[in-house]
Amino acid sequence: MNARRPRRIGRIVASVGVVVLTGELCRHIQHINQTAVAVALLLVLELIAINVGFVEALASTAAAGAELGYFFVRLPRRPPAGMVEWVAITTFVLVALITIRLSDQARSGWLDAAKRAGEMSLLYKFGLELLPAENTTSMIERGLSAAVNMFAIEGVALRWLPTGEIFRAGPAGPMILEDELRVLNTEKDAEERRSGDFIFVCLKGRNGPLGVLGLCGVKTSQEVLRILCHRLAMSLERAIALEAATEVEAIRRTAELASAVLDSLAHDIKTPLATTTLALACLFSVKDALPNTHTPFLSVIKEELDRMDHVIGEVLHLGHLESGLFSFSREPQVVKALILSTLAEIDGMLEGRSVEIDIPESVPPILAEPRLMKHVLKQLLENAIKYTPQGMPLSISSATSDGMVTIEVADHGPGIPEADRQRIFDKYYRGENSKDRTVGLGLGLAIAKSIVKAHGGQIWVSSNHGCGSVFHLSVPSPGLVGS
Amino acid sequence: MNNAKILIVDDDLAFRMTMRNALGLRGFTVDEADSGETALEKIRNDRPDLILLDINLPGLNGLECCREIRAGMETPIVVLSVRGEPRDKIQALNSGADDYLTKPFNLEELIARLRANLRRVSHFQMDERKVITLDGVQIDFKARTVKARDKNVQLTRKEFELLWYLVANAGEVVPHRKLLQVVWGPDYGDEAEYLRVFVNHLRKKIEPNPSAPRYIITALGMGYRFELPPGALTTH
Repeated sequence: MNARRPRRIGRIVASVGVVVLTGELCRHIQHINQTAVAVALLLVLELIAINVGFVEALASTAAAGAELGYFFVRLPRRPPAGMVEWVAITTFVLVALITIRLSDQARSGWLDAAKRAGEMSLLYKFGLELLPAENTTSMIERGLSAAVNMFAIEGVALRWLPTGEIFRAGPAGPMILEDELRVLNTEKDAEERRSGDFIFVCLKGRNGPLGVLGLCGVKTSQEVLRILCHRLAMSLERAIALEAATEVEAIRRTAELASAVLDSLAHDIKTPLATTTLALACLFSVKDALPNTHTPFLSVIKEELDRMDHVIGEVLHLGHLESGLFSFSREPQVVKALILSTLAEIDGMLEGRSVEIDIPESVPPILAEPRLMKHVLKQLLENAIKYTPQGMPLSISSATSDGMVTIEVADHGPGIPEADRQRIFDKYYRGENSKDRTVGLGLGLAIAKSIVKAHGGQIWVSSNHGCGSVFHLSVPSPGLVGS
Repeated sequence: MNNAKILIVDDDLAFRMTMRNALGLRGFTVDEADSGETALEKIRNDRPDLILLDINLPGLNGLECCREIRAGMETPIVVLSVRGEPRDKIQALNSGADDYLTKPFNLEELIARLRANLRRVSHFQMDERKVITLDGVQIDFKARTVKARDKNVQLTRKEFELLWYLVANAGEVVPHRKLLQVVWGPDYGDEAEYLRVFVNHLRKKIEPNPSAPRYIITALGMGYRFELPPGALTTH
């Protein structure tokens, strides 16, 4: 401020000098009238107001009034004598004041527009600097150093909320205290806080606060600062979204690869298995021609092939379910029809056990892929049969609860110990009771869980040790949606 | 029927050899192809009675092969594949396959299905000319022709049989199992997706608005019912 004063005094002196000089020039022109001198002086005053400034033009107006009054109008010393001259000189001064005021306003407008154009160009270049980066961190670093270099900010620091890291840029960046970056309440509407030469701004994205930006030695206008922060926030939010999309794409590619490996595995294992099974079937058809001592071996081979097929089928099925690429279409299915059809498929396994079915007419259809849902029911029924002594009944019931249809399969077996109940749906887990009874790898209930989950439902077990178990599954029903 | 000519299309030599022996023992005449291209050539030249087709083939794959065959002929196609997901079966049926078995399969089941698919003279043959007329669509069951808005529409043998059985039992719900056993054969019953695919095909060919069917109605979880408008069926 102090350095500016002598410069301004110099400009005032120079401006007054120009006015005096103009007056002097006019005095040497013969037959010039007062009006012409007044117009010439007004022109000079307007030029000073436009090119130099209002204060300088004001001082020059005083000088011009005095010069016009003394040399040209020749004002009498004391009014009321020479009233006309006084009126003329007062009019000149008033016109001069209005002219310099208007000229100054026009000048301010031009300067303002030029400044805005400069700021807009800077903001545009800043926007270009914020084009997608390889990751969020490099986007933050690039954004902060661009802000420092383009807007002549002395230092910036950003507390990045997603990770809690602090990023700094500019010579005064380290002067911004970490504690200050923590003070701003990012949840509140107040987005800005000033503390001496420091400004703290909350960077907000569409989904909430992203970080707190501290700035030191900011020379730009409030509006430019606001736009700068907004652009930075938008770019960082875009970087987060891009990073997430890249991650999703990577997961999708991994799932695709897993699915391709499974397909290839299925082909490479199942084709020789099919060939062997077929060859064995041919041998069976001519078994009468084989020595009696050889035929039991055929049965052993058949049983082992069946076991291998079952295990491979389970692994591939679960692999497909978990690949994330597994898709199926669901249609409304009548619960009772689904259960009866499943029971028809496992009829041979019941071996005299009766099945009590309790499905009220009021149970609405469920939204399911019939083959998959039958696979789940089959798994639960096979389990129940395995643990229910011959002659004892199994029971299947259904009801509606919390907008879902529940199906319960109960057995009269020994029940499931608490420790097993927690892990019974885990892959490859086989409870103590099942180790000597099951053929597979312990994937049956894991597959059932994956299928039910893919249908938007849940599966769980309740059991009283010694009093049997009840497997529950709940599946959405189109009739209950929104009720 | 047992001396029917069967073409096995599979890229696995051991599988083809074993199939040749297994089917040969049952009296079938067997030919082989190790790729889709060879298969198409053999089908054109030798006219087999039935094709056993693998999906996973080098070059022209099984589904493309299926579509190529269906573009010109009605030879029954039974797909044998290691993939057993419903969507794989639906894809194969949509491409023109008549049946689908997942490897490894039971030989007896395969033989039963081969016989069912080879059944040429069906109980759907009729002496009288029965024609139904539905909203711009004319179906002649004896001539096995369909005209929709003056254009000839192709219906496969199974589509015709399915439609005729539904029409013959118009007004009643025909259960899935019954339809499968009548149209595909006595060994069928659980292949509900077969019906979904073929009924979809039929609806596209005869219904004015296939997404809101007026004639072939789904009885949820039970079967299908044909809604025959009064006077639509005429016998000549």
